[in-house]
Amino acid sequence: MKLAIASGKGGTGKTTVAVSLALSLAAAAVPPLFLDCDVEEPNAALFLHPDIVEQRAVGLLNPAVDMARCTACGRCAEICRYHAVAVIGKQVLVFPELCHGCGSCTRQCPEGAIHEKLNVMGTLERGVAGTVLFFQGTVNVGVAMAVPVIRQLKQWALPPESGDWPVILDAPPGASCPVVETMRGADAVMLVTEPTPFGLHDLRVAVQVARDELGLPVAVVVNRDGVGDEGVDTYCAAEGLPILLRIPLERAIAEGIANGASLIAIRPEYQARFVALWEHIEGMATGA
Amino acid sequence: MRKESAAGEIPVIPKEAAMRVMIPASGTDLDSSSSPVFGRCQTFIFIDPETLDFEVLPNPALNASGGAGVQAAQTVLRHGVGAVIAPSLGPNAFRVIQAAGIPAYRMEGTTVHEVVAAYNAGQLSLLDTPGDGHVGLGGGRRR
Repeated sequence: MKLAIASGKGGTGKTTVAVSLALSLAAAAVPPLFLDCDVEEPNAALFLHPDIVEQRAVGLLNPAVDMARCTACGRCAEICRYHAVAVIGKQVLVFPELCHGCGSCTRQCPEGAIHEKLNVMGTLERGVAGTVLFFQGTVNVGVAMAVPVIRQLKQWALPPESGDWPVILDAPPGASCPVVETMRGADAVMLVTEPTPFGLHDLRVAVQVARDELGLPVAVVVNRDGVGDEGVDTYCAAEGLPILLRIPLERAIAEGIANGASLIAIRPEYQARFVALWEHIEGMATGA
Repeated sequence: MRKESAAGEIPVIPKEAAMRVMIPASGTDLDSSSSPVFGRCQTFIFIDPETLDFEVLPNPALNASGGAGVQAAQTVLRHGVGAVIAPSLGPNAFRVIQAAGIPAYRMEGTTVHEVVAAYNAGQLSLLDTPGDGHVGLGGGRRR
Protein backbone atom coordinates (compact mmCIF):
# COMPACT_ATOMS: atom_id res chain seq x y z
CA MET A 1 0.00 0.00 0.00
CA LYS A 2 1.04 3.55 -0.74
CA LEU A 3 -0.16 5.87 2.01
CA ALA A 4 0.03 9.65 1.69
CA ILE A 5 0.12 11.58 4.95
CA ALA A 6 -1.23 15.11 4.62
CA SER A 7 -2.96 17.69 6.77
CA GLY A 8 -4.06 20.85 5.09
CA LYS A 9 -2.90 22.94 8.03
CA GLY A 10 0.83 23.08 8.60
CA GLY A 11 2.39 22.03 11.87
CA THR A 12 -0.25 19.48 12.85
CA GLY A 13 2.22 16.61 13.06
CA LYS A 14 2.38 15.05 9.60
CA THR A 15 6.06 14.30 9.89
CA THR A 16 5.74 13.11 13.49
CA VAL A 17 3.10 10.62 12.40
CA ALA A 18 4.83 9.63 9.15
CA VAL A 19 8.17 9.02 10.83
CA SER A 20 6.63 7.07 13.71
CA LEU A 21 4.59 4.99 11.32
CA ALA A 22 7.72 4.16 9.28
CA LEU A 23 9.70 3.19 12.38
CA SER A 24 6.80 1.13 13.72
CA LEU A 25 6.50 -0.82 10.47
CA ALA A 26 10.26 -1.34 10.36
CA ALA A 27 10.18 -2.66 13.92
CA ALA A 28 7.39 -5.02 12.87
CA ALA A 29 9.66 -6.40 10.14
CA VAL A 30 7.81 -4.72 7.24
CA PRO A 31 10.29 -1.95 6.46
CA PRO A 32 8.71 0.74 4.28
CA LEU A 33 9.89 3.16 1.66
CA PHE A 34 9.69 6.65 3.09
CA LEU A 35 9.34 9.60 0.69
CA ASP A 36 9.63 13.10 2.10
CA CYS A 37 7.59 14.97 -0.53
CA ASP A 38 7.58 18.28 1.35
CA VAL A 39 10.30 19.43 -1.01
CA GLU A 40 10.07 23.08 -0.01
CA GLU A 41 10.96 22.17 3.55
CA PRO A 42 11.86 18.48 3.97
CA ASN A 43 12.43 17.67 7.62
CA ALA A 44 11.79 13.95 8.13
CA ALA A 45 15.55 13.39 7.89
CA LEU A 46 15.92 15.27 11.18
CA PHE A 47 14.13 12.37 12.87
CA LEU A 48 15.12 9.42 10.68
CA HIS A 49 18.84 10.31 10.36
CA PRO A 50 19.31 8.47 7.06
CA ASP A 51 22.72 7.74 5.58
CA ILE A 52 22.47 9.32 2.14
CA VAL A 53 23.96 7.05 -0.50
CA GLU A 54 22.99 8.81 -3.73
CA GLN A 55 22.15 12.31 -4.88
CA ARG A 56 20.97 13.59 -8.21
CA ALA A 57 20.02 16.95 -9.69
CA VAL A 58 16.52 17.27 -11.08
CA GLY A 59 14.55 19.86 -12.93
CA LEU A 60 12.66 20.50 -16.10
CA LEU A 61 13.83 20.45 -19.68
CA ASN A 62 13.65 24.02 -20.92
CA PRO A 63 13.91 25.09 -24.55
CA ALA A 64 17.20 26.38 -25.88
CA VAL A 65 17.01 28.07 -29.25
CA ASP A 66 19.64 27.83 -31.98
CA MET A 67 19.33 31.34 -33.41
CA ALA A 68 21.21 30.34 -36.58
CA ARG A 69 18.31 28.10 -37.52
CA CYS A 70 15.44 30.09 -35.99
CA THR A 71 13.29 32.02 -38.46
CA ALA A 72 11.29 33.76 -35.71
CA CYS A 73 8.12 32.22 -37.08
CA GLY A 74 6.57 32.41 -33.62
CA ARG A 75 5.23 28.87 -33.50
CA CYS A 76 6.92 28.20 -30.14
CA ALA A 77 5.35 31.25 -28.50
CA GLU A 78 1.99 30.40 -30.01
CA ILE A 79 2.01 26.81 -28.76
CA CYS A 80 3.18 27.56 -25.20
CA ARG A 81 0.16 27.71 -22.93
CA TYR A 82 2.32 28.92 -20.06
CA HIS A 83 3.70 31.92 -21.98
CA ALA A 84 7.20 30.76 -21.24
CA VAL A 85 8.38 31.68 -24.73
CA ALA A 86 7.94 35.02 -26.44
CA VAL A 87 9.05 35.90 -29.96
CA ILE A 88 9.68 39.61 -30.35
CA GLY A 89 10.83 40.64 -33.79
CA LYS A 90 13.70 38.25 -34.42
CA GLN A 91 14.41 37.54 -30.76
CA VAL A 92 13.18 34.52 -28.85
CA LEU A 93 12.81 35.05 -25.11
CA VAL A 94 12.57 32.03 -22.80
CA PHE A 95 11.24 32.39 -19.25
CA PRO A 96 12.49 29.35 -17.32
CA GLU A 97 10.38 30.05 -14.25
CA LEU A 98 7.22 29.82 -16.36
CA CYS A 99 8.26 26.73 -18.34
CA HIS A 100 6.55 23.47 -17.36
CA GLY A 101 8.93 21.38 -19.46
CA CYS A 102 6.20 19.91 -21.68
CA GLY A 103 8.43 19.92 -24.77
CA SER A 104 5.71 21.21 -27.11
CA CYS A 105 7.83 24.05 -28.48
CA THR A 106 10.69 21.68 -29.24
CA ARG A 107 8.45 19.27 -31.12
CA GLN A 108 6.51 22.00 -32.92
CA CYS A 109 9.49 24.02 -34.17
CA PRO A 110 9.37 23.67 -37.98
CA GLU A 111 13.11 24.39 -38.26
CA GLY A 112 14.24 21.96 -35.57
CA ALA A 113 15.93 24.98 -33.99
CA ILE A 114 14.98 24.12 -30.41
CA HIS A 115 16.69 21.57 -28.23
CA GLU A 116 16.09 20.91 -24.55
CA LYS A 117 18.44 21.55 -21.70
CA LEU A 118 18.00 20.68 -18.05
CA ASN A 119 17.06 23.60 -15.85
CA VAL A 120 18.13 22.33 -12.44
CA MET A 121 15.44 23.05 -9.85
CA GLY A 122 16.39 20.80 -6.99
CA THR A 123 18.01 17.66 -5.66
CA LEU A 124 16.82 14.14 -4.99
CA GLU A 125 18.47 12.02 -2.32
CA ARG A 126 18.27 8.37 -1.44
CA GLY A 127 19.50 6.68 1.71
CA VAL A 128 18.84 4.19 4.44
CA ALA A 129 17.65 4.75 7.98
CA GLY A 130 17.93 1.37 9.66
CA THR A 131 15.74 -0.79 7.46
CA VAL A 132 13.69 2.15 6.19
CA LEU A 133 14.49 3.08 2.60
CA PHE A 134 14.57 6.84 2.64
CA PHE A 135 14.02 9.30 -0.23
CA GLN A 136 13.71 13.05 -0.17
CA GLY A 137 13.50 15.91 -2.62
CA THR A 138 14.66 19.46 -2.01
CA VAL A 139 13.66 22.28 -4.29
CA ASN A 140 16.26 25.01 -4.68
CA VAL A 141 15.66 28.29 -2.87
CA GLY A 142 13.88 30.71 -5.18
CA VAL A 143 12.28 28.04 -7.35
CA ALA A 144 8.50 28.38 -7.17
CA MET A 145 7.63 25.03 -8.78
CA ALA A 146 7.64 22.10 -6.38
CA VAL A 147 5.57 19.70 -8.47
CA PRO A 148 8.27 18.60 -10.95
CA VAL A 149 10.63 17.76 -8.08
CA ILE A 150 7.93 15.73 -6.28
CA ARG A 151 6.99 13.96 -9.51
CA GLN A 152 10.58 12.99 -10.24
CA LEU A 153 11.13 11.93 -6.64
CA LYS A 154 8.21 9.52 -6.95
CA GLN A 155 9.36 8.26 -10.35
CA TRP A 156 12.81 7.59 -8.95
CA ALA A 157 11.70 5.95 -5.70
CA LEU A 158 8.74 4.05 -7.11
CA PRO A 159 9.53 2.69 -10.57
CA PRO A 160 6.70 0.66 -12.10
CA GLU A 161 8.49 -2.61 -11.31
CA SER A 162 9.03 -1.67 -7.65
CA GLY A 163 6.46 -4.20 -6.43
CA ASP A 164 4.32 -4.03 -3.36
CA TRP A 165 6.47 -2.40 -0.71
CA PRO A 166 4.76 -0.39 2.00
CA VAL A 167 5.21 3.23 0.94
CA ILE A 168 4.78 6.28 3.16
CA LEU A 169 4.53 9.65 1.41
CA ASP A 170 5.00 12.62 3.73
CA ALA A 171 3.09 15.42 1.96
CA PRO A 172 3.65 19.16 2.09
CA PRO A 173 1.11 21.28 3.98
CA GLY A 174 -1.71 22.94 2.10
CA ALA A 175 -4.06 21.48 -0.47
CA SER A 176 -2.63 22.76 -3.73
CA CYS A 177 -0.67 21.19 -6.60
CA PRO A 178 2.28 19.79 -4.56
CA VAL A 179 -0.17 17.99 -2.25
CA VAL A 180 -2.18 16.65 -5.19
CA GLU A 181 1.04 15.45 -6.83
CA THR A 182 2.02 13.66 -3.60
CA MET A 183 -1.39 11.96 -3.29
CA ARG A 184 -1.60 10.99 -6.95
CA GLY A 185 -1.17 7.22 -7.27
CA ALA A 186 -1.54 6.63 -3.52
CA ASP A 187 -3.95 3.95 -2.30
CA ALA A 188 -5.13 5.91 0.72
CA VAL A 189 -4.63 9.21 2.53
CA MET A 190 -4.19 9.79 6.22
CA LEU A 191 -4.96 13.33 7.33
CA VAL A 192 -3.32 14.56 10.50
CA THR A 193 -5.24 17.35 12.16
CA GLU A 194 -5.57 19.14 15.46
CA PRO A 195 -8.93 19.67 17.16
CA THR A 196 -9.07 23.43 16.64
CA PRO A 197 -11.12 25.58 14.26
CA PHE A 198 -7.95 26.06 12.16
CA GLY A 199 -7.31 22.33 12.04
CA LEU A 200 -10.92 21.68 11.08
CA HIS A 201 -11.00 24.33 8.37
CA ASP A 202 -7.98 22.92 6.60
CA LEU A 203 -9.07 19.32 7.24
CA ARG A 204 -12.25 20.02 5.27
CA VAL A 205 -10.22 21.37 2.35
CA ALA A 206 -7.85 18.38 2.46
CA VAL A 207 -10.82 15.98 2.49
CA GLN A 208 -12.20 17.73 -0.57
CA VAL A 209 -8.93 17.11 -2.38
CA ALA A 210 -8.21 13.56 -1.22
CA ARG A 211 -11.67 12.03 -1.05
CA ASP A 212 -13.87 14.18 -3.28
CA GLU A 213 -11.43 15.01 -6.09
CA LEU A 214 -9.02 12.07 -6.07
CA GLY A 215 -11.53 9.50 -4.80
CA LEU A 216 -9.15 8.03 -2.20
CA PRO A 217 -10.07 6.43 1.12
CA VAL A 218 -9.35 8.89 3.94
CA ALA A 219 -8.66 8.30 7.62
CA VAL A 220 -7.85 10.85 10.31
CA VAL A 221 -5.29 11.15 13.10
CA VAL A 222 -6.01 13.75 15.77
CA ASN A 223 -2.85 15.23 17.23
CA ARG A 224 -2.71 17.43 20.35
CA ASP A 225 -5.91 15.78 21.43
CA GLY A 226 -7.45 17.68 24.32
CA VAL A 227 -6.88 21.21 23.02
CA GLY A 228 -9.53 23.13 21.11
CA ASP A 229 -13.09 21.96 20.70
CA GLU A 230 -15.38 19.19 19.46
CA GLY A 231 -15.51 20.49 15.88
CA VAL A 232 -13.18 17.91 14.33
CA ASP A 233 -14.95 15.01 16.07
CA THR A 234 -18.38 16.24 15.00
CA TYR A 235 -17.22 16.76 11.42
CA CYS A 236 -15.53 13.35 11.16
CA ALA A 237 -18.60 11.59 12.57
CA ALA A 238 -20.89 13.40 10.14
CA GLU A 239 -18.62 12.61 7.18
CA GLY A 240 -17.98 9.01 8.19
CA LEU A 241 -14.24 9.61 8.47
CA PRO A 242 -12.62 7.18 10.94
CA ILE A 243 -10.35 8.71 13.57
CA LEU A 244 -7.73 5.97 13.88
CA LEU A 245 -5.41 7.50 16.43
CA ARG A 246 -5.40 10.28 18.99
CA ILE A 247 -2.14 11.67 20.26
CA PRO A 248 -2.65 13.74 23.40
CA LEU A 249 -1.11 17.13 24.02
CA GLU A 250 1.56 16.18 26.53
CA ARG A 251 4.62 18.08 27.56
CA ALA A 252 6.82 14.97 27.49
CA ILE A 253 5.86 14.25 23.88
CA ALA A 254 6.41 17.85 22.79
CA GLU A 255 9.79 17.97 24.53
CA GLY A 256 10.91 14.69 23.03
CA ILE A 257 9.98 15.74 19.51
CA ALA A 258 11.63 19.12 19.98
CA ASN A 259 14.77 17.16 20.86
CA GLY A 260 14.55 15.16 17.64
CA ALA A 261 13.10 11.95 19.09
CA SER A 262 10.33 10.05 17.35
CA LEU A 263 6.99 9.53 19.03
CA ILE A 264 7.62 5.79 19.43
CA ALA A 265 10.96 6.47 21.10
CA ILE A 266 9.13 8.68 23.60
CA ARG A 267 6.05 6.46 23.94
CA PRO A 268 6.93 2.88 22.85
CA GLU A 269 3.31 1.78 23.28
CA TYR A 270 2.49 3.73 20.11
CA GLN A 271 4.39 1.25 17.95
CA ALA A 272 1.62 -1.36 18.05
CA ARG A 273 -0.98 1.37 17.54
CA PHE A 274 0.75 2.57 14.38
CA VAL A 275 0.97 -0.97 13.01
CA ALA A 276 -2.74 -1.46 13.75
CA LEU A 277 -3.47 1.87 12.09
CA TRP A 278 -1.57 0.79 8.99
CA GLU A 279 -3.47 -2.49 8.84
CA HIS A 280 -6.79 -0.70 9.26
CA ILE A 281 -6.06 1.68 6.40
CA GLU A 282 -4.87 -1.22 4.27
CA GLY A 283 -8.29 -2.76 4.85
CA MET A 284 -9.97 0.50 3.81
CA ALA A 285 -7.81 0.72 0.68
CA THR A 286 -8.55 -2.82 -0.45
CA GLY A 287 -12.19 -2.62 0.60
CA ALA A 288 -11.68 -5.54 2.99
CA MET B 1 14.16 31.41 -45.73
CA ARG B 2 11.51 33.29 -43.81
CA LYS B 3 8.21 31.58 -43.35
CA GLU B 4 4.71 32.98 -43.44
CA SER B 5 3.99 34.97 -40.32
CA ALA B 6 2.21 32.87 -37.72
CA ALA B 7 -0.03 34.07 -34.93
CA GLY B 8 2.79 33.84 -32.40
CA GLU B 9 5.07 36.26 -34.17
CA ILE B 10 5.14 39.88 -33.23
CA PRO B 11 5.37 41.88 -36.43
CA VAL B 12 7.31 45.04 -37.03
CA ILE B 13 5.21 47.93 -35.80
CA PRO B 14 3.33 49.68 -38.62
CA LYS B 15 3.69 53.47 -38.78
CA GLU B 16 0.13 54.31 -37.72
CA ALA B 17 0.39 51.98 -34.72
CA ALA B 18 3.68 53.53 -33.71
CA MET B 19 1.81 56.74 -32.95
CA ARG B 20 -0.32 55.02 -30.34
CA VAL B 21 0.42 54.50 -26.70
CA MET B 22 -1.11 51.81 -24.56
CA ILE B 23 -2.54 52.54 -21.12
CA PRO B 24 -3.77 49.70 -18.89
CA ALA B 25 -7.21 50.53 -17.53
CA SER B 26 -10.12 49.22 -15.53
CA GLY B 27 -12.81 50.27 -18.00
CA THR B 28 -13.63 51.01 -21.61
CA ASP B 29 -13.45 54.80 -22.00
CA LEU B 30 -11.17 57.70 -21.24
CA ASP B 31 -12.86 58.42 -17.93
CA SER B 32 -12.06 54.89 -16.74
CA SER B 33 -9.61 54.39 -13.91
CA SER B 34 -6.08 53.70 -15.00
CA SER B 35 -5.10 50.24 -13.80
CA PRO B 36 -2.76 49.87 -10.83
CA VAL B 37 -1.38 46.70 -12.45
CA PHE B 38 -0.21 45.85 -15.95
CA GLY B 39 -0.34 42.07 -16.51
CA ARG B 40 -3.75 41.60 -14.96
CA CYS B 41 -5.43 44.88 -15.90
CA GLN B 42 -8.99 44.69 -17.21
CA THR B 43 -8.45 46.46 -20.51
CA PHE B 44 -5.74 47.84 -22.73
CA ILE B 45 -6.58 51.26 -24.10
CA PHE B 46 -4.61 52.08 -27.26
CA ILE B 47 -4.80 55.79 -27.79
CA ASP B 48 -3.45 58.35 -30.22
CA PRO B 49 -2.33 61.04 -27.79
CA GLU B 50 -2.89 63.84 -30.31
CA THR B 51 -6.36 63.03 -31.63
CA LEU B 52 -7.46 61.00 -28.57
CA ASP B 53 -8.81 58.36 -30.94
CA PHE B 54 -8.72 55.16 -28.99
CA GLU B 55 -9.39 51.47 -29.15
CA VAL B 56 -10.17 49.12 -26.25
CA LEU B 57 -8.91 45.57 -26.03
CA PRO B 58 -9.89 43.23 -23.18
CA ASN B 59 -6.81 41.75 -21.52
CA PRO B 60 -6.73 37.99 -22.25
CA ALA B 61 -4.20 37.53 -19.42
CA LEU B 62 -6.58 38.88 -16.76
CA ASN B 63 -7.21 35.44 -15.28
CA ALA B 64 -4.10 33.64 -16.52
CA SER B 65 -2.84 31.05 -14.06
CA GLY B 66 0.70 32.21 -14.66
CA GLY B 67 2.75 34.21 -17.11
CA ALA B 68 0.22 37.04 -17.19
CA GLY B 69 2.92 39.66 -17.74
CA VAL B 70 4.43 37.86 -20.72
CA GLN B 71 1.03 37.20 -22.27
CA ALA B 72 -0.17 40.76 -21.69
CA ALA B 73 3.01 42.26 -23.12
CA GLN B 74 2.87 40.05 -26.19
CA THR B 75 -0.79 40.94 -26.74
CA VAL B 76 -0.02 44.65 -26.55
CA LEU B 77 2.93 44.37 -28.94
CA ARG B 78 1.00 42.22 -31.37
CA HIS B 79 -1.72 44.84 -31.44
CA GLY B 80 0.76 47.50 -32.48
CA VAL B 81 1.94 50.26 -30.22
CA GLY B 82 4.72 52.84 -30.08
CA ALA B 83 4.99 53.16 -26.32
CA VAL B 84 3.62 51.58 -23.21
CA ILE B 85 2.55 53.38 -20.06
CA ALA B 86 2.32 51.30 -16.92
CA PRO B 87 2.43 51.75 -13.15
CA SER B 88 5.27 49.25 -13.17
CA LEU B 89 6.29 46.21 -15.19
CA GLY B 90 7.23 42.91 -13.64
CA PRO B 91 10.57 41.36 -14.66
CA ASN B 92 9.06 39.21 -17.43
CA ALA B 93 6.83 41.87 -18.98
CA PHE B 94 9.74 44.29 -18.76
CA ARG B 95 11.98 41.90 -20.71
CA VAL B 96 9.35 41.49 -23.44
CA ILE B 97 8.74 45.24 -23.82
CA GLN B 98 12.49 45.91 -23.80
CA ALA B 99 13.09 43.29 -26.48
CA ALA B 100 10.55 45.07 -28.68
CA GLY B 101 12.64 48.22 -28.35
CA ILE B 102 9.74 50.52 -27.51
CA PRO B 103 9.78 52.88 -24.55
CA ALA B 104 7.80 52.33 -21.37
CA TYR B 105 6.73 55.25 -19.21
CA ARG B 106 5.80 55.28 -15.56
CA MET B 107 2.09 55.97 -15.28
CA GLU B 108 0.76 58.98 -13.44
CA GLY B 109 -2.90 59.93 -13.15
CA THR B 110 -5.95 58.13 -11.88
CA THR B 111 -7.98 58.16 -15.09
CA VAL B 112 -6.94 57.36 -18.65
CA HIS B 113 -7.61 60.99 -19.52
CA GLU B 114 -5.24 62.23 -16.85
CA VAL B 115 -2.56 59.78 -17.94
CA VAL B 116 -2.73 60.96 -21.55
CA ALA B 117 -2.61 64.57 -20.39
CA ALA B 118 0.47 63.87 -18.30
CA TYR B 119 2.08 62.06 -21.26
CA ASN B 120 1.30 64.96 -23.61
CA ALA B 121 2.73 67.41 -21.09
CA GLY B 122 5.97 65.40 -21.01
CA GLN B 123 5.54 64.68 -17.32
CA LEU B 124 6.05 60.93 -17.46
CA SER B 125 9.45 59.49 -16.70
CA LEU B 126 10.92 56.49 -18.46
CA LEU B 127 10.28 53.18 -16.75
CA ASP B 128 13.77 51.78 -17.06
CA THR B 129 13.89 49.11 -14.36
CA PRO B 130 11.58 46.17 -13.74
CA GLY B 131 9.37 46.25 -10.67
CA ASP B 132 8.29 43.35 -8.49
CA GLY B 133 6.52 40.47 -10.17
CA HIS B 134 3.07 39.22 -9.20
CA VAL B 135 1.81 42.62 -7.99
CA GLY B 136 -1.55 41.87 -9.61
CA LEU B 137 -2.03 38.71 -7.55
CA GLY B 138 -2.63 40.48 -4.28
CA GLY B 139 -0.94 39.61 -1.04
CA GLY B 140 -0.60 36.26 0.61
CA ARG B 141 1.46 33.21 0.01
CA ARG B 142 1.07 31.51 -3.36
CA ARG B 143 0.63 27.88 -2.43
